[in-house]
Amino acid sequence: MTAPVLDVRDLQVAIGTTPVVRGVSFQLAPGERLGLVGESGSGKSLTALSIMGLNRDPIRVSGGQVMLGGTDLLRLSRAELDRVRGARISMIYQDPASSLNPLMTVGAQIVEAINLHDKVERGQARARAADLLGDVGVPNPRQRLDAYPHEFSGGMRQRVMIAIALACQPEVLLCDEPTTALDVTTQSLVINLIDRLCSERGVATVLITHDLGVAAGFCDNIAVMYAGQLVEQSSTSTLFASARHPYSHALMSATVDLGVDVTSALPAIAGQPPLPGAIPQGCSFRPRCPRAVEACADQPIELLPLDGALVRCIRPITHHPGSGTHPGTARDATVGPPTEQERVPNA
Amino acid sequence: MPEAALLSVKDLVKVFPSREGKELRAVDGVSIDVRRGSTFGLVGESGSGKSTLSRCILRLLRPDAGTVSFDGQDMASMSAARVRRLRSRIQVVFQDPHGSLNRSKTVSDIVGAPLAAHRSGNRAARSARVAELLDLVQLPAAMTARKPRELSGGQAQRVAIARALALNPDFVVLDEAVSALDVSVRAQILNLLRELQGELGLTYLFISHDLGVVRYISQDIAVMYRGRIIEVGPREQLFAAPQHPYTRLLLDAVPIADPSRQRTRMRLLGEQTGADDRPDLPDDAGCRFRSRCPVGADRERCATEDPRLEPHAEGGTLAACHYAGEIS
Repeated sequence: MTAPVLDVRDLQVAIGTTPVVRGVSFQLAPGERLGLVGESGSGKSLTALSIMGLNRDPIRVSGGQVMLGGTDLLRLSRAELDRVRGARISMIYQDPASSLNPLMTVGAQIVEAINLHDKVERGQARARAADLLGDVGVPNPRQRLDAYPHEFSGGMRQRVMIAIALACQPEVLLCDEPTTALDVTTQSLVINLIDRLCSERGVATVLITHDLGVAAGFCDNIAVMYAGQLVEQSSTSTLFASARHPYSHALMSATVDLGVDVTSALPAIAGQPPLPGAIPQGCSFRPRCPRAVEACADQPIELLPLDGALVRCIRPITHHPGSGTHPGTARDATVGPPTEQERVPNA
Repeated sequence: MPEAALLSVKDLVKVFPSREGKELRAVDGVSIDVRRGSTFGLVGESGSGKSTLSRCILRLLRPDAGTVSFDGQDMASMSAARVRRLRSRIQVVFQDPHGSLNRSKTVSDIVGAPLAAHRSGNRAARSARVAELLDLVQLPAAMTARKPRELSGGQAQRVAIARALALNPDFVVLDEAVSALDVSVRAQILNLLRELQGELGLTYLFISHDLGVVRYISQDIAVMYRGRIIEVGPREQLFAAPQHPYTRLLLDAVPIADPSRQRTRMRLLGEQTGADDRPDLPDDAGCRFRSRCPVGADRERCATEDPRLEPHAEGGTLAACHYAGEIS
């Protein structure tokens, strides 16, 4: 394998003294798209913010390394970090309205991003800004440089954010729920745009999302997070065809897409994710897991290789031969008998 | 009004003043019939008018024209006292469970509040009813003393549902009631809503931007676009053979959890780059969807004649499109 552009090693993040990201490791190859999928509170956004060094008190990184090329971002001074952020690694956020400065024209904000890292003369920066705005699909880019964020629709604002994030040709782009605030018809346009630009420019991307459908269409590989840890990591096609971890499997089954059987109850996951500080011993998914046995409580479960994937489970789901070739059959896999917890939802 | 309709909305209009002295017709001549004991799904993107419509039905807003009849009675011509009595039969659950619960009250105060407001029974009877309601929404009795901040999103939404059911309503408006919930909890609440409907014979108006969820829970579905219903009909027909190009676009845009198919869908949809920023055309000239429409963008009739909601195919839905069915 070629050297990864981003190598996150055993990242630990805590709120005060309570651990919220508990040893996350992943590598991002050049041009790769990795999905970080999980529900709220799983630690996926804090992982991204920590990579960017954007945590504020009382949230802080308590251990691990974030290697960008040969540099550990966690060891950099503020000034050194400022030279890296926006230039070699960028991030876009869920809410484009609050990420843009409402008092500055869109053009000035793109020029600012260019100037932070590339000292170019004013006219040239403006020309580059117009090109960028055109690249992200904003019509009449030259005129639109002088418009303010409120004069753009939500989808167009997110395009502006993408232009800013890509202004200095970063190697890595982190996208934190980039389409969650957008309408469904706009969502696919924006994802498609990120897809195209990152391919053209060879930018490696981490897509953080709660939406498995969005991840399915965009990512090469997916890491599923639960209670601050990765519980499964594999190629997108393998995950959707044969999820091994009971949580990944349950998450897919509980997703209400256009294919669910409307005549029966949804296969919901009983209970709710544990709160930070109250994470169960052993496997953190154990209290909600239909496959859990006593041994699951004994000791921390490790993320181990299994058929080309990484799975944090001592009783992973087995898939019947052949079922792996048909996406969607994860729903039919053997999950084990329902337990008492499944009949007593209390979330 | 059809025999079986519990709620009937006819030609409803709600206008808001907008910038530059213009008018925004947030709801522009909408009619729906919600059959007793069924779920009517209302789907649309932001700004389509679905929440304004629900607020008019709940009388949180006064419509500028049109009627809302409940159980055969026109609500606009009713006395204040009658409306107040009717209010107990019509309830609502909103999107943000924490935002809609009083933070300084306990779960038992919150669920019991409608009972106190309508002076239902004495203290002991009310507290028995609260216990019954918590049991109904499958919350442990130990929750009664908790405050909203001690509840998870799913638990808070169960409390909001219990409060809505306190006065034995016939009709519940669910306005994006599961949209803020995580996937695993959303499925639990949808299951609960269906169970409650069966047990109590409730009628739902279910408003959401999420087509998957609307399809799962509703028997009849209306799609709204810029203040109008552009397609309406039974779930099976609407999803199997959508007649309106906008319905087709919405269905194509819903991500599906199948990597290879989703990739193809995404590419096809992405070819319409820029469609999200085409200017909206004035309401008075032709079809309001035509600036984004793959079928009628260049057709004369679409520019000059506002399409009416009418049947096009045998046994199909009603659609407001001159060229309905062409896209399917």
